[in-house]
Amino acid sequence: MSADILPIATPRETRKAMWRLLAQRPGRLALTIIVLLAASCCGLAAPAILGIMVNIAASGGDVMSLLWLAIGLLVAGGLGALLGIMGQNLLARICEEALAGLREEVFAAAVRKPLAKLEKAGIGDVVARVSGDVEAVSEAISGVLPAFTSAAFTIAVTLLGLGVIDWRFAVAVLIAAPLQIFTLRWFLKRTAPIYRTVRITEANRTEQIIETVHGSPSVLALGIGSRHADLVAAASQENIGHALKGVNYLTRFYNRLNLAELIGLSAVLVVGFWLHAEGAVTIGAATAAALYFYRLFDPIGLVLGQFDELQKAAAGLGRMFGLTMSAAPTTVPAMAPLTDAVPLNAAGVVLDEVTFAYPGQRPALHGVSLTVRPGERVAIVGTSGAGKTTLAKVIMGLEHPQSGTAWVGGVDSAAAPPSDLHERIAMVSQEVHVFSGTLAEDLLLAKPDASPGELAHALHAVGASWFETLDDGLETPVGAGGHQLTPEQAQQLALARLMLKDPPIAVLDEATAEAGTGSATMLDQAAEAALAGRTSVVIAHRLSQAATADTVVVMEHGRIVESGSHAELLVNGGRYAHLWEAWNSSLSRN
Amino acid sequence: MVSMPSSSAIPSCPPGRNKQAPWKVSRLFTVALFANGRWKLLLAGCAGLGLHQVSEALVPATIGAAVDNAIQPNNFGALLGWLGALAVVFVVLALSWRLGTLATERSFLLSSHDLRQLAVERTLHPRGMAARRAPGEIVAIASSDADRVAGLAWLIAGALAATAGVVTSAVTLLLISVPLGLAVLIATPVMLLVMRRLTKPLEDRSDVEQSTAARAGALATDFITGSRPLKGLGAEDAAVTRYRTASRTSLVAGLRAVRSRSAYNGASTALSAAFLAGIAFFAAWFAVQGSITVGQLVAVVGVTQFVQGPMTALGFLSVELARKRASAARIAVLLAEPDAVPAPESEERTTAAANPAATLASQGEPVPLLELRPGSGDAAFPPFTASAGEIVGVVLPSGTQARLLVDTLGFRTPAPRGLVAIDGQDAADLDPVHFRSRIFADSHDGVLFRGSVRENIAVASTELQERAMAAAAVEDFVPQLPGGTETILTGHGQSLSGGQRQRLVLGRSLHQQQPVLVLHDPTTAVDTATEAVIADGLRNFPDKALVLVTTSPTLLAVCHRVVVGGADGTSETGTHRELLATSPDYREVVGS
Repeated sequence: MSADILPIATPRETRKAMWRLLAQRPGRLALTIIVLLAASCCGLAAPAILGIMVNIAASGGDVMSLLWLAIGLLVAGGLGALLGIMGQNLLARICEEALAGLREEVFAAAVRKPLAKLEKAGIGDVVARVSGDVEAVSEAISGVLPAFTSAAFTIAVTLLGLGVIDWRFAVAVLIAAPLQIFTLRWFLKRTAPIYRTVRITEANRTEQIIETVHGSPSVLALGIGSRHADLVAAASQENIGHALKGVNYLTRFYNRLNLAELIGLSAVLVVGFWLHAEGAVTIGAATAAALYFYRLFDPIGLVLGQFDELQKAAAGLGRMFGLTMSAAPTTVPAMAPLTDAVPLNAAGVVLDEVTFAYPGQRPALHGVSLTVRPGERVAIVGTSGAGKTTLAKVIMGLEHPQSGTAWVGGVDSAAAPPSDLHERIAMVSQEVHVFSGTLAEDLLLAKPDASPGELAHALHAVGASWFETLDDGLETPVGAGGHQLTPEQAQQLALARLMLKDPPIAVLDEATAEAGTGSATMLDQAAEAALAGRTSVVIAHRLSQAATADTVVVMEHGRIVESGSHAELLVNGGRYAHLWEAWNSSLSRN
Repeated sequence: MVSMPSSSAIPSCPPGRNKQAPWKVSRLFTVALFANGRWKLLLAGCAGLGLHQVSEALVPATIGAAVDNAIQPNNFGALLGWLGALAVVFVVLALSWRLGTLATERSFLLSSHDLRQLAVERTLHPRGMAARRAPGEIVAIASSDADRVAGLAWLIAGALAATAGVVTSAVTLLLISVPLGLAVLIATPVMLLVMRRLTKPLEDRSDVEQSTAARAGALATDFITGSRPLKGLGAEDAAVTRYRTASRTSLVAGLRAVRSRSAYNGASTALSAAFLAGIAFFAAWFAVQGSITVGQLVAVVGVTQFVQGPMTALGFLSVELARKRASAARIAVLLAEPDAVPAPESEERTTAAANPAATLASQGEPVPLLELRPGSGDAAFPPFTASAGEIVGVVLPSGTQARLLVDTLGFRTPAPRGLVAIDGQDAADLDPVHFRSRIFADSHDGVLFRGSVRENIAVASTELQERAMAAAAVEDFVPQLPGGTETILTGHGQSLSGGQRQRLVLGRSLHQQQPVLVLHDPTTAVDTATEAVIADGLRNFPDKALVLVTTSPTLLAVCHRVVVGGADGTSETGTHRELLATSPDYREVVGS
């Protein structure tokens, strides 16, 4: 895992970005704060009214005044409830809308990030940010934030109320504050690393479960089921150990807060005793003060206890913002073709002295020059590690050459805006991925406005007529959690997407290589159909694919060592002729 | 699965279950709460949290007593005394909570661990699962669902503690004034009932909220995981649009859930205000009349405020329990999943099954390590045998059939009686451990695990074998890895190329100690030149029977014998060259 490759926003940047999101509608934000404050004030009425009732009880009074006071309690409660509902809804609206906007922005940034960057950062890290972190932040915002805000408002308003009775009560309450602040800081400092470890060990446990379950056929075949069960158990136990440490601190934290409550309550009672003895306040006021503080127990516990939840959410937000920060699109306008020596047609590919090396490795491509004329099919052959896939990635603009240029349909693939490139070229790679959703949704990714007829036509064209036998045809859910397609069907689907996308240029990176037993011919035919009428670069796995291409290019150690038509190369008796001979001898009859 | 009309076959296998009681919600709850001595932790948790609630309930009573006996009569000595009493209440409150929390949390974590292991062990059962689950689903069951069911300890301890709090409050109130105590005792269940009615829509909505949020998250994960094909297609914008739709749906559901949650909170605030108003009115009136003291009035008001906490907790009990039941049901379904290869009902052996083996033995021929004897109406597998020192190629007309054959030989799909004989014994009679000790057949997409290259390849022996390393052609890249054979692989060997991974998996198969090794298209991601090296290396296993299920001509050329199954159920046998010469179908399948 290389989590440090993608940036994480600093707390300061996170706060700024968050404020920018929340303050999009300042009027609504102000209204929300006012309503929430008003709701807290209604809550404050209860102890005050109860104090008056105590005074009446102590000095005598009539039933009617008590009744009015009780009605007052009822009204204050009802009004507080109404304002509370309003305030919570307003707050949720602001926060959830901001969050939805943010997660969409984050996802868009992630999905538009250059592939090389995504893969270097680790797909896992990005997935964690767009799903795990988003969920954690949503949970905090919809679960913790509303309660946290109203508790914080209640504390503030109550302190004010105590000060109104007598300023000395407010001072008594604040005696406990240093202990509370100290305890919170102590807790956050001690538990931050523990909680981090808990999360890491939990992720580790999840990873182990995924590995074990994903590989369960191999695990069972190898007879190492109990070893893997032990691995999961060990990962789980490690997590439990850290979680228990965290709980231990949590209990000590709340115990210290209990101590603060005791100190504060005692102080309020002592002040009440003193002021009442001096005649400065009535017994009712002293009682109200005690009740005020008593009803602060829960809000204080909530604010201090949820503090770290919000901090965790802030960490998640930092990771989300980090993804958008690094998204700064560096789109250089598409450059016009430079030389007229190269035929830069809208449907041709020209590689001009392309050199590319993965960081810290020997160059995977050494000054590769190659011209693919419009409508031509070029097959690239060579041993694994010869640079074939890198070549395909450079053509697709997924990797940028250190020197030289890859011209694709007249634009520089390293500098052109993605949209320009996507109009011209598409690639089907060896990895088959069936996007989850219905079969139609999967295909519509290639052409969002395609009609069902077009979809069916593309599927038929690549020989994927099996879709008609599915329970719901095009509407059958496929991919994760849906109907499982065989690897061959998934590859046909990928070729059908290519047909729908209908780019003038196509790259097939060993797209039919995984076809094992019995499917090679079928997939070759499907590829044939998908490539018809396109300029194409085919990274060939089987030499039978090379034989049908217009031009065969042989690569070795990042260089083109031979190129020409199949027939020419055979006559030349070079590298390709040897490969062909080896391949053919296994097919020859004597 | 192909159904078998043949008379000697087992009648369509009923999902054979183990002798143990079936997994049900109640059994999982029992495991979660009591298994492995957890009942002691639960007991300690209930005692601690219960005592905590009792002491919490005593705090307002103590405040009232202080007002009554110290503040009102201006008695400083009494004030000190009552502050001391308050301190004692707080010490008990703090320590009992700590004890209860630690015990309950420990019980929760351990029980979640046990449930998780149950789920993981089910997926690793040697007989496999009839319906395989996606890893994500198992993770959800083994983490969220296990946690939720294990949280039953918290639910029970919390509910008991809340009850203790309510009872203490009621007793306090009854001691102060019988009518007030009765009022609380009657109002409590009424409020619980009302709240329960209110929680119902809340429950539904928050379920919708969760599922739409989960859907958006899953969509994001899926697109990012498939970003390579997505980018190859240039479909980023389409993906962004689709995610936005899911995100907006989730937003709408989320706001609806918030609205009903805040309505619930508001209703419960209003309800408790009404409750407080009523109790305060009567208590104050009693105080005016002199039947209770001013301090008792304060206590009554304080207790009434306090008691709403535990009451709310009790109000949410049914929602929580329903969630836990749903989670437990999901775990139970997984645990009760039928085996992929059901255990044969013990007295099921028919004479028809026993006979062929007997025939073979009586003829005095050496028994082949593996024999395939497809019956009538069977899948179009060709009959073949494999003995030590032989390389047998098996060419099948479709990928599906090839997978079915390899899965059958790997004990992932049941072998119909009479189809497969291992050492002359019908495979249908063999248990998975014995079966797999004789024949090794990993699936085509065999995966690598976290650990060093050596640990991945030499699983059984830990010692690397020269001939297997050579035959898997791993020596041209393994020495170049940062740590050679000790390089640690992560994430299924993501840092390696597809061809390198495939060769490591092949190397792992060739290190296995079973006498029969089945290799399913082991070179699809390997280039032609390397494939030739591999084919050559496979000749160095004279002590093993190698079965190559493939259509690669390079591999088939080194086979001693190639058997070809036709789509119409016919079969041919010969060497690769013979078949090339005689069979046009064969030529077509192997790609010439």
